[in-house]
Amino acid sequence: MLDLPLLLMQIAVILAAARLVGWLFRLMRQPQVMGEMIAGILLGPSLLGHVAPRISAAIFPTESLTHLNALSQVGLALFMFLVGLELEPKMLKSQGMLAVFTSHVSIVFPFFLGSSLALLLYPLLSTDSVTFLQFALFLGAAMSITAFPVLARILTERKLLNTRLGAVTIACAAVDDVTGWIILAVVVLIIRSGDSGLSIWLRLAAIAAYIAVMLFGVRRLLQRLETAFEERRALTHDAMALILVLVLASSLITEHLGIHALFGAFLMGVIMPKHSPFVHALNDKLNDAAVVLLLPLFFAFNGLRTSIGLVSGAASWLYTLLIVLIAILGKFGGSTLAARASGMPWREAASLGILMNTRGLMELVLLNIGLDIGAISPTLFTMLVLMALATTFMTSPFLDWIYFSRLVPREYPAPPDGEGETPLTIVE
Amino acid sequence: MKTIILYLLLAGAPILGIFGVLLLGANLQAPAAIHGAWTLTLEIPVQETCQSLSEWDGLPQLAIAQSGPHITIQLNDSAHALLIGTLVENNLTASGAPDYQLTATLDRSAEPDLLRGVLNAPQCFSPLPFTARLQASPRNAAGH
Repeated sequence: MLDLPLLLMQIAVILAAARLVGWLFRLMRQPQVMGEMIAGILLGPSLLGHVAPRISAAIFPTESLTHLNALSQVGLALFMFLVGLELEPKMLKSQGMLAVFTSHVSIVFPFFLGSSLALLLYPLLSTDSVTFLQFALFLGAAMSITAFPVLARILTERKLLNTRLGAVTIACAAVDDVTGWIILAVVVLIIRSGDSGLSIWLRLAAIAAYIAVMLFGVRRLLQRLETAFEERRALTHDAMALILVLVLASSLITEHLGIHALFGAFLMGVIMPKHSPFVHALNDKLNDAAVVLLLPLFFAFNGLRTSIGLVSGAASWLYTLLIVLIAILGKFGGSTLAARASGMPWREAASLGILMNTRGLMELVLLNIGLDIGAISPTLFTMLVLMALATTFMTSPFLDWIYFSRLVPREYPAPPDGEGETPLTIVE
Repeated sequence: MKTIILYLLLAGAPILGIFGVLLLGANLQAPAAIHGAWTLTLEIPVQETCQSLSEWDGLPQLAIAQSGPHITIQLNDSAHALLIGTLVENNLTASGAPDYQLTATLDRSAEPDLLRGVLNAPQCFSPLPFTARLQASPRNAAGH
């Protein structure tokens, strides 16, 4: 049963913690979202539940988490829609071979290392409820994902979007995100295929039909909405409601098809018309609710599932360290090598590598799906969350060290505030 | 030509590597999945052997969390009865404060899975033989 006062208190506590820790992280030149992720962990069993178990149990009793989770999932669906909305296929085309080559390598190289790591971790941290194939594919996907929204924010804040580095990075991140989600959809489909009577081929056929309807039917409807928007220069409440209904319906369909609800929201965003004023109007309307109000709930729910105490003993910490190193080697190493091989100077290539290594909240989304479907254990979930935090945290200082302190003053004098920047503002 | 060679080297080779890894790992075995909620049936009445066992008020349950062979067992949601142990093949051993000890064998031929074993509890004069039945299949459970 819904305990409304408790839910309201939970939301207030989470928002206050998210803003406070986010502010502290902004002081350290970290993105706000990094602080919000940490705030979620601090509210969970890793800190609050450990030092003040009674307070933790009073604020977040287990039976109340269902409602918090439901709200956070709605927020996540809206957020994934915004991520899809910001993806622009032209980004990749305009960057040519360098972006195509780098993005492909930045996916397959970490994927290879991640699946290789599965050879070691499968007998140690998994069970026979998942097969090696499922485990290895999931670990590969977890290693190859890039946080497109966080990257977009970092590049905008650092005024890098209009540099070659920024343009190539954002194009590669967009490709990585789409590919990463397709891979994850396949993994979820394989794992969930045993849950219902539908054969995997029937599901694949239904998914193909759904994608065709989205691309050739719903897309046209959305183009009409865009035309109406251009005539009125405003997004009406009716149009907004229709878009939201379509987002939720698409999420519902993909959930029923056995690939998570979030894919439906993401695909809906991807097929939206990419005319800039329309995208900005939609973003303006949804951003605050999704990013300021609902996304911190997801971080808190993620934090409540993350128990650093599960990583106990030298061996567990050694595995965690290995996961972090393999993640960095795969993403940073693969992207840097590919960019260098494509003709980018070393320092710029390494900067691209460090940016692509940012996993941020997209990794958390992926990991929560993995935990939900039973692909990973809570212990491995915690280890991978630590990896996501480490790789996101290291981006800003390493970017300063590799790129800003040496290359920028010489090669890219900063433009005046806001000039020539395309605002990508999904997260702060 | 140089671009093609580089592409094959940096993108093609890892793809081949992924297939190699999947082939190599196909025969790997992970420990049996026992995570989930288990309902406990004692073979002798608890009142006969134990002074008081508040953890077992109501229907006795074991909540098992698992990461590979590492097992954490909670008796009836009691924070005071938390056992930590390992699963080696089908043999489960776990212990925890205050003086709880559990040994059991997993029977996967039964439907649903069964655990048969003995529990030593601090308030009991003799070991308690038990059978535990899995409430939900790990494959369908959310998480491990």
